[in-house]
Amino acid sequence: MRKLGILSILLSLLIMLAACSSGNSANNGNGTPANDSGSPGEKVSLRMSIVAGADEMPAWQGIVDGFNQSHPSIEVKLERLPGSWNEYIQKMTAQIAAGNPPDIGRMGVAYMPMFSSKGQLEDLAPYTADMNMGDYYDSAMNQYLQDGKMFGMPIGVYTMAMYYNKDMFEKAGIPLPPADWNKAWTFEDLRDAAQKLTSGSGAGKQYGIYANLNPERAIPYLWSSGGGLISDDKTQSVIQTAESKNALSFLQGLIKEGYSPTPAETQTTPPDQLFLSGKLGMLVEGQWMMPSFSKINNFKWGVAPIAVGDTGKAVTANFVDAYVVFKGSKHVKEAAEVLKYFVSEEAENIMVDHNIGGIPVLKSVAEARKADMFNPLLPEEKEVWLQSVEVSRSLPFTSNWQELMNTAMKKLDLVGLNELEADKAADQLAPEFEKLLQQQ
Amino acid sequence: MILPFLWMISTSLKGEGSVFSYPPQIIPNPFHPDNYQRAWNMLPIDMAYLNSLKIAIIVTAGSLLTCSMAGYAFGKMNFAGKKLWFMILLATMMIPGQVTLIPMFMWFSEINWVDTHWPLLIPPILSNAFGVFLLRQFMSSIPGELEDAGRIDGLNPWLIYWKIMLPNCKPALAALGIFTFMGNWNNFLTPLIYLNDQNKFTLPLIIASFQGLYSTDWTLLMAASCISLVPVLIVYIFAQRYFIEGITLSGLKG
Repeated sequence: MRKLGILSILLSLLIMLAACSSGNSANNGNGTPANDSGSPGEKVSLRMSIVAGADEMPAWQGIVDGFNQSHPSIEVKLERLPGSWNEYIQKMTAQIAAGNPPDIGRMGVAYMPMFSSKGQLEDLAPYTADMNMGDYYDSAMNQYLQDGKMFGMPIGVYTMAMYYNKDMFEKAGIPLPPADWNKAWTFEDLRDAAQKLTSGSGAGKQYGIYANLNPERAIPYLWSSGGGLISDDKTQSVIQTAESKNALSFLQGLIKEGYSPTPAETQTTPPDQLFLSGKLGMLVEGQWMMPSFSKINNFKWGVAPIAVGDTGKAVTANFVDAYVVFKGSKHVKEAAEVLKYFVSEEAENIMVDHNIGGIPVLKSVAEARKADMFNPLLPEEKEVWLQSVEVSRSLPFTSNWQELMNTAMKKLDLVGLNELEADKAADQLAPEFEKLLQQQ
Repeated sequence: MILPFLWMISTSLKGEGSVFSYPPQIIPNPFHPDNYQRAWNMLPIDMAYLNSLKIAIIVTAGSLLTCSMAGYAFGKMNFAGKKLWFMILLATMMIPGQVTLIPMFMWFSEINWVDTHWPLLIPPILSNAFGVFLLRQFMSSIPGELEDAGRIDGLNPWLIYWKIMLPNCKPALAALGIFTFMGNWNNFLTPLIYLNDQNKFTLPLIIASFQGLYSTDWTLLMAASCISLVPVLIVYIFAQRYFIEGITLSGLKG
């Protein structure tokens, strides 16, 4: 009698398990063998896997639907992953290792060398002969079209500029920064403004600027001073040069004077939230902040060029993420077809409609849709973004970029906390950079 | 201790932009209860709720069963190589999950379990070394006289396990149940790696969806978190009785 009881519990557990999964195992995306024969008329099914927040989905689903409607012989299935690039990369790595990656992916530009150097991406160059490269922004295309190979199709151009709180400027009686990159502020102008905008103390303190020492955000200051992180050919460290040290010391100075929150303070309140709540005067950040800043309604804000160092030449960083086709896809030709559609006028317009992806890589769309992009900025401020593409450079991403960044941040956080002088940190980082550059 | 919790509820009812305002508002003004509706409608939270509940309940029930059986064997029975097997079992606890992640994925991909709930159900039920360890320790402390009494009454080992061991282990079982339930309810990485289809997503994946790559809608995120918290609270309140009982009885009444 009792034995029966135990048995029945076990049995019911098993039945429960079986019932739960029924129907789940039918479709595992392992490629439908029927399609491999390539017989005409057969519908090719492609898996596309991206990392995205829920609010981005109308844009991504929009271009996928657009493709599916106009290409009856190919069907793209879109899978969305929550989380950050880190987790997305982990999942892609697992799927590649298991020999079952999605056909199409979305790849952060910083992770491109990691995948392409291991031969995990398909070369798209053979399929792009019918694209007119002159129609696209050079700064976007040139990153991906190198040595006759093309491992990614640029999604859109994100650049960085300086957001500022107009109400705070007016209250402090400072003239607004110029909207032309050729007339950008100097470091001294920036420091003066930061000083005047800083007021109060304690938890309610109002900061003039956020001096971000993260190399991916600080690099425009380094470049316009004539320095940088590592050389363009990615063989040497240049962070120890006098020019780079100048820029880093300038940033540290802003923190020392109390014009900028320290890394410890931005841990509790992220700088973008500080800006949103009207407690930060100036913030150098990317275009990707536009959707969240466009909802600000308790103060006026604008966008200006990033301050320029000793060279006097304005420069900003661009981040051009890419669509990729993973090695192991059985339908590279069809996948390339999809990617070509994604950078076509039709798809680029859908992306602009939803304010996702940054400045379109297609020049004609970027020009034509000026009025729809970057709202609620004034027309001349929109030019700040458009012009920024021309003066932008890409970062020298390496295949071990994350390691490089972690190494850098260990020292630069100390700089931000004023526990280490900027020039000493640069000297200490140089040999570590060189070591990592040799490893890649 | 309750402050972060209150903060979460308060944030979930705030308007955007007033989340980090200073001085902090505890009572939101204006009031935004529509955050909950927006969060609920934006993504299939109801599906995720069912998926999460299903996985958490099955894994909890299953691992309580397997862990208590193994715990009884390791704690009370004598068999060849008992110590060695137990050492091997404990050794599996020392391997961090990240190390086995990719090999496991390859293996499950081989048997077509990717994008199903199986990899989230079977491994945690069959390989909960911590649970075995916890229950073995607890069962070892139950006096042998109870077993002897059972044997005199003619019970075989199965029935001793079922009629004597399990009832005396209730506090330990409740504790393990809570750990397992919470662990699976909050598990993020494993579902993320194995699931592709949004309709199979669990709650942590859905909650993470409110966090974009570059910006986060804190109000929606907190509203979704509040929604997901309800079952955990219920389980805790329900099982708390056993915690208290465990202290007063210590499983040693006879």
